[in-house]
Amino acid sequence: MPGLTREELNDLVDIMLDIGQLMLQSGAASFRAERTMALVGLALGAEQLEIYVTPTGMVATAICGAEQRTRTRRTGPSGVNMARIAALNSLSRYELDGATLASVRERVNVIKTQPRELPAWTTIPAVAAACGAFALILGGRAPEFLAAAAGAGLAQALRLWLHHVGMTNPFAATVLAAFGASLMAWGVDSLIAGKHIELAVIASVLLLVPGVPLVTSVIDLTNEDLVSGVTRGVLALVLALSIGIGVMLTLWITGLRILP
Amino acid sequence: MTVLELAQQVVWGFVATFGFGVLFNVPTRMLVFCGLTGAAGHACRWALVQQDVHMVSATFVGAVVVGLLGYAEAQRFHLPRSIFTVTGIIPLVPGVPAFETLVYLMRDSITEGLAAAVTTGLRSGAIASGLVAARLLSLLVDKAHRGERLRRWQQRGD
Repeated sequence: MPGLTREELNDLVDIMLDIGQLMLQSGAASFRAERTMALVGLALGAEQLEIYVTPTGMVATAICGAEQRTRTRRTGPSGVNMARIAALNSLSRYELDGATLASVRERVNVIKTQPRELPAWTTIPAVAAACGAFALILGGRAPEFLAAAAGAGLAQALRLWLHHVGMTNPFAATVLAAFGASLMAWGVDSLIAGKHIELAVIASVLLLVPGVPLVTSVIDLTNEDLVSGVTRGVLALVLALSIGIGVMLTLWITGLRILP
Repeated sequence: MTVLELAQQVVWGFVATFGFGVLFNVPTRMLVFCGLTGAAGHACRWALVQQDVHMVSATFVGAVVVGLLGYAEAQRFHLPRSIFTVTGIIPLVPGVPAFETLVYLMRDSITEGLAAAVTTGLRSGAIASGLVAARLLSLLVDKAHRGERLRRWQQRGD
């Protein structure tokens, strides 16, 4: 393969950063993003790569012959999107034979604009059922199932709406969603005379618990990505605090006392 | 522990994982497999806890089960393992102790809050070490896992 020109190397680094950004924003661990970027960069003709990914930004250097390009990209985590991770993984592993810069650029753009697998509203009944199931796992009965499902459904609808009107700050959205969910769960469970209001309230906010950052943080740490691991851990902590604030508001308004 | 109770736990674990799979935009044809992975992990942990195994050890075993199932499914469907493990681990995530930590601390019940925080940390650690253990076990099975290109990158310059 002939060496890449300066402009081509520039494009290559740009594609790699796009891929890394999409991976991070879909909830991938840092080492996973780095590997995907490396596979694509090497397949497109770079001779040597240096890649450093953290959850809030990344640096990539591509070297080919006497030329080298380095660029940084600021980014931020924004949710979990498994279909996107799967598509990028498939691109980096199975679709690179005979690929050119233009063809990979096109494929990345297609992946970037891919709609969700199921319409966004389907997440509302899905998380409602999931949080209802958690209420049962925790030892609740039918009233708790209903209350937790109603609260979680409301919280997810609220999150979608907030996202729709442009309020994208995850911490503020989590406070509001937790407040709405716990208030709804309390209301429904009191109305139908459930015996374990605290279970309903806890289960209704479980959809907001930052499980993916929490687990990814430990995965990062075991891969010696200390910066990524600590950053994701702190993100999980602040999100958890946001849930706590939302629930506290509900407990304060309703005068409910949960936990002994 | 009766068969009926176990079946109930399997169903609830399935529903919980399936719901989060939709939230995480898992490829639609994989939703059922994610649900089954989560149900298996949760059912294993529940059955062990019923046999008076400590919650943390039981969580570790559940995470190993999720990790190994995730590995098998990733091999079978040529998809990243994290699709199955990240969703499958959801029923094991210590959401309740995390929640208790916050409520206790905000209520100035420092002792209870710290106890709940330690519980949260231990169970998160059990999940992580379970997933890592499953990863190491799966490495024993296949060694030709990494492509030539990636090996070249990882051995660069040092």
